[in-house]
Amino acid sequence: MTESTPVLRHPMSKYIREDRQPFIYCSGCSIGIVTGMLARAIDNLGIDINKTVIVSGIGCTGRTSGYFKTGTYHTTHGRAIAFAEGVKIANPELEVIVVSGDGDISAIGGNHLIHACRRNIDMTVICINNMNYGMTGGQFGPTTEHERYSQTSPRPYGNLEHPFNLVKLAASSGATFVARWTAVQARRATKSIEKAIEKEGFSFVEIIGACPTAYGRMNRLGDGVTMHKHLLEVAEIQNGLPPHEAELDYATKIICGEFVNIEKPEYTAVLAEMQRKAKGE
Amino acid sequence: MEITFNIGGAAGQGIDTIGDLLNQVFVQAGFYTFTIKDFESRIRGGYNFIQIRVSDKPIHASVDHVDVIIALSKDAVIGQRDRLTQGGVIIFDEGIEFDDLEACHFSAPLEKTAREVGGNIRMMNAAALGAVLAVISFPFSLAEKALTGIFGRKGEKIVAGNVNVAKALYDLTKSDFKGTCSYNLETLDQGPCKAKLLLTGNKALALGAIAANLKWISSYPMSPSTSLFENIVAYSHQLKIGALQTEDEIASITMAIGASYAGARSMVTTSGGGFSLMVEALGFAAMVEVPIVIYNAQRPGPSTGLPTRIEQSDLLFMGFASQGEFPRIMLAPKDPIEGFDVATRAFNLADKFQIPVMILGDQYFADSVMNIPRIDASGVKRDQGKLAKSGPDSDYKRYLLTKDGISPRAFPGDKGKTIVSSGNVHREDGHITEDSEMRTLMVQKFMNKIPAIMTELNPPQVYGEEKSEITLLTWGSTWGAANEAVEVLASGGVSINQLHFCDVFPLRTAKLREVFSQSKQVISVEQNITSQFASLVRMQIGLGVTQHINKYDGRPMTPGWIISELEEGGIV
Repeated sequence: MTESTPVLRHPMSKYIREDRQPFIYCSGCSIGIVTGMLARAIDNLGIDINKTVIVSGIGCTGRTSGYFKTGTYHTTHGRAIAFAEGVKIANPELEVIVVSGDGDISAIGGNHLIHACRRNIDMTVICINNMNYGMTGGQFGPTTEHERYSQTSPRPYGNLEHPFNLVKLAASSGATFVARWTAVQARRATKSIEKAIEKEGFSFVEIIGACPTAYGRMNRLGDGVTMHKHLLEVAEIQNGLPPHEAELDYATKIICGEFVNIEKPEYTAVLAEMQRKAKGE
Repeated sequence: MEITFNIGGAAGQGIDTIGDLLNQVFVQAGFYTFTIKDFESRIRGGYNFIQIRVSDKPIHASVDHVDVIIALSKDAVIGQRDRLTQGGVIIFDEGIEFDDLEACHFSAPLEKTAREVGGNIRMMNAAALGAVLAVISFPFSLAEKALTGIFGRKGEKIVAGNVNVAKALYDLTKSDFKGTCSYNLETLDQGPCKAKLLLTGNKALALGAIAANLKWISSYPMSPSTSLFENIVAYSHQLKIGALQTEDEIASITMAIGASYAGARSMVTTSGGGFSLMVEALGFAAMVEVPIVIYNAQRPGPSTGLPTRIEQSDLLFMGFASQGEFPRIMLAPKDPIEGFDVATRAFNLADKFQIPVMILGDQYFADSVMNIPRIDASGVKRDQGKLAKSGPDSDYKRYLLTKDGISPRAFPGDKGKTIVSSGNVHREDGHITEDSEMRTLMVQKFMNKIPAIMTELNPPQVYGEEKSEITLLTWGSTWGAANEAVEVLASGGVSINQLHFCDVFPLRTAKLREVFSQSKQVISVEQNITSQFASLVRMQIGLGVTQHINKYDGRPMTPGWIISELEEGGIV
């Protein structure tokens, strides 16, 4: 008989489904860190988890929703934001959070992203940007830098295309809160996620993450630890910088911070007001 | 009494307004009317027309001939004059120059009178009305009553102006028109029809959806579906309906699925091209068992096709769209009255079976106007299907395996319940699984719904003699033309009836088998080239129709056309 050792439970396990552990993610992946950020943000805010809906699309990050102990929705590729808009407008009492990847949100779902920013529906979108399609084995995507290598932009030429800067895209599309952090800036990123959730409007938080298995390997960026160390080295905090100056260059500089925090009439609030007026109230 | 009018002109000239006036006059006077709209896919110019058929008996189809033409452009004369019946009349504004004037032509000062008598060029519509009514000797007192009813809300001045202009043209036509018109309605009394509600199929669907407690609609504009969306948008704030015009059809249906997941009765409206974009999400709705109502106002395809014209060519596409296998229901209303009923049933069926329900219309159904009796919405039943008991339930499973395949629904935010869903294959609790046994059970769960769906759907209807030698097999909006063709032929001694389907998918087969064993000839009449419904029938019961009648020029079927096809085929 061995003496049973007390199992230390993770402080966030109250929000995370332990029965679904271990995570499907590769070692060195950033998605687990970001999952933790979101759990902590929910915990710090003390919001009713039962009234929180977490929606995701398809891909590695798309699997995030299923790890939360609440109403979760794993939708089709690219459609997390559109789905979430329907949920939020149909029941504005729900706190709606979308967590998905860069490919899901800005390639196949790019149209929904820009239009949701424009509409200003109260929801939080957390986009984990690992600069490639991880789940399908590492193809280039809309955030892959020029001349970087991937399964579909192989050596010796690399990527012919140029990446989106998602902060600029969200800001110019009309999002009312826009921030960017790297996966290693967990405390600051968590704080921004809290602000994003609290913001009455469309919030976009980009977290630059590492995909050592696919993107890292193909571009010889090192293992997970090396990549995360690098993120810390190149991250440069510039809170309040005009969003169009929030440059992102993986090798040399990733500008981080909160770039947009503006007030604009929020869709569901305006709708409720219209409905009151229509009823003559 | 039966008379057909054709009002033609360029887009933007106001032919719709003249049509509305004429329609209202005859509806107020107690007649049945049936109006089709034929227009090009353009905003200004071109040649558009509306055809208004008026009768003292119920009518449900357009016809090939015309008795009185009101032409606002030269094209409108040229486009229709070959269809003019003996004793018919063509009225046009004196501004349109014609060098080959015939006795049946009447060049009238429509614009001039509107300006001089009414002080407003817009009253040209009333002027046209006055000229038409004079030509057919329609009692002006009845017209005056109708005009007062139509313009009453706009105040006495507008009423008086319109009545004066109409009367001026009426009198002028009486004295100046030298031709003869075979229609003389001088002694006309109030007609027998009490139905006063002028409704298109799209509007009927909108009203049905509202009566069914629609709470969400998200759409992207696409002819000929758009007017349904617009009709609901007009009332959305008052009725607390979320109505959102999306960036594309993919967003439309995905948002609607989201709203439905949150508990709102949801629908989307589109046409074939938009439905093509929705197909992936159709499968998603099926996989996550979220109820959704999809309206496809079909149009001639493929691609952009003919945006404003008629075809029934999306039946098989919609029946089998999406990867994977799952149950779905398809309903094809024949006219506005059935449209209202179909809309209310669609939401109940979607909720009850937690599946996509698709309504198939086309431009003929969507835009044609009929006067129908007032709709009593108090009889509309709302059945949300199986709902989970309220209160906390930590064991709640959104996809609980049950005998009938239907799991009680709960909604995010419900106290003490966690709702988990995924487009991947999932377990009863909604979490992803790759387990082979669970996959098998979940596929069977879908299919276990079908027996109850079959009993819930309406059987097809036989029109005419129950047992006949010839049966016309129809579905959706072609009902009216085929129905009248059957009536005409049967009254001439032909043994012919009609078997008509509104609930087209999944197909109820009992009546079909019966008809195939009774009738010597079963002839499909469809607005497509490949007889899609007949193909579906053969697929389901292994029996093929004896002949096909197909129309795929984008123009409406008429009773006369169907009869001539039957004659050419040596059938009658």
